[in-house]
Amino acid sequence: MGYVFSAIAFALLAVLPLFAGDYGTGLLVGLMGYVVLASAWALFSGPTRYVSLATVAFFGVGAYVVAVLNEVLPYPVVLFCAALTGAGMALVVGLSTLRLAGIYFVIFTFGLAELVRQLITWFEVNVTGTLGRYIFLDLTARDIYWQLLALAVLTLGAGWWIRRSRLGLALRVIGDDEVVAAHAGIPVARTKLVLFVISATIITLVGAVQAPRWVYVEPSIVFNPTVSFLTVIMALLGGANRLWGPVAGAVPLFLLFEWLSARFPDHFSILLGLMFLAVVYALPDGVLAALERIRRPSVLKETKA
Amino acid sequence: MILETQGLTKRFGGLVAVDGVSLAVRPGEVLGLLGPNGSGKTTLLNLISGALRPSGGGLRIGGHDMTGARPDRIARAGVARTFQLVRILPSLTLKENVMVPAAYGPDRLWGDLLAARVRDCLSAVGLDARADQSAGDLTYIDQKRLELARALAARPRLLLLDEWLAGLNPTELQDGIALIRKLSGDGLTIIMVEHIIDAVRALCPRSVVMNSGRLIADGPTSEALADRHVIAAYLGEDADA
Repeated sequence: MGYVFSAIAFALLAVLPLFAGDYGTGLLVGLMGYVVLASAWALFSGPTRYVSLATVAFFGVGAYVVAVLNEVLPYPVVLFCAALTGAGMALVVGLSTLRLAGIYFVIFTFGLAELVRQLITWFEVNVTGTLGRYIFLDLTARDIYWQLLALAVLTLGAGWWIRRSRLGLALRVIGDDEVVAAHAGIPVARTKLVLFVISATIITLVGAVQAPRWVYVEPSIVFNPTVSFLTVIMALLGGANRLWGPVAGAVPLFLLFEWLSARFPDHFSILLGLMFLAVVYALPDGVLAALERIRRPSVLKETKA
Repeated sequence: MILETQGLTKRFGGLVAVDGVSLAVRPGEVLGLLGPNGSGKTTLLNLISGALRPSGGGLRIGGHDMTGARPDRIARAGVARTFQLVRILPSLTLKENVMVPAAYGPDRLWGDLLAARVRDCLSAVGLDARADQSAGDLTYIDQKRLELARALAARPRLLLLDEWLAGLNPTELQDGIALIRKLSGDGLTIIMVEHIIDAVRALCPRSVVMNSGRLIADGPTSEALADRHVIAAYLGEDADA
């Protein structure tokens, strides 16, 4: 039943840009981008509770790989290179940081995004001598949307599979108590690393797929820390521990932020900060969990009556 | 030998918490690990379970060298433990708590076999009726039970109990002793850190006593407890004067 429903929903989403205008399709691209980002973020950070602010580090690197290679290699190969770069970077970052716990991990990942941005800026200015790059790829907004939709199916499919597998159980145990996890026989470091790499690779691909929309790319554009924060709020609002939670958070928040940034461009950051606080304080488990709590008592009453 | 340590040592800075402990445990034994507070009992258990890496000496489990091995590898070699301060997985259900070592331990079960193992282990500690409840809602005593069920789910060869009987009321204590005796009857090797001497006398034919990180006695429990050095360690140096 669930499969049929999901299949119909994705089929409808696939034909949607045929009816939406240029503005609508542009909106759908942005929306689908965040759906994938939040879902991919939650793959790792949801069960393990390692809050990563490195989203834009991978997202930006994905965009940059496309910017550098788009005129040299065929497009599918460019995407493959982007995925490989993201995975390699996640492997190095993961090996060096997944031993950090709590707030140290959060700060490191935030610093990482800034570090990558500064390194690329330095390299472009001092070695290649150009700060900006152009992306001339013959891809319409629709093409990009369909690629993102495919990535969304892939990400949710991976999330669905992980939940049912031994790996999903291990991740939840790690989120609760790493000492117990290790004493139960779970290879803690390797498990975290595998999920971090999967999650980061998908995030890198989102950056790569969306890159042609910019046409002109420079570090300050693609390494915008707002992307990391938005991803976290969306996943948390919907509930990072649920398969559909990040989607449920990404859709309303993306539309809200789209409206806010058009309406109050000067106060956008303040509003974003307030939203962040509100989500963390009021809905720590996400809106889906809150809805369940509200609905459950009424269910009990019905069965009693 | 199921467990052999040779000169096992753990230093924390200048403090030597475990100092050259050599110990051999035969399959099927129930060994009491005794000693005053701070004598290094829990540190020794942590070295055996892999929670801590030894600063010196060797560790063999089931004849294989496990010196410096990670805890997950030692767990897969058939060692399970409970913790002095109970560590359940609060956001998981009871069933899921018990699933973990069965799925990741020596047997790597999944599917029907896993479900059957989980049912067995929960019913062994009397928690089978509450399998789908959240572990975070359990009382302290039930958390202890759950922790034992979880340790048993790995179907270990060696079980390390760190004051598992502490904090139980007299009835629960009798139940707990009966449970450990049954496990031992099934052939499980157990090392138990315990302060309740009656329980140690009832369960452990052999005991070792630690003081200041060293082993000061090793033998039949009644003899080990009557040892002059042991009495001095518990009561102070003047006691035997």
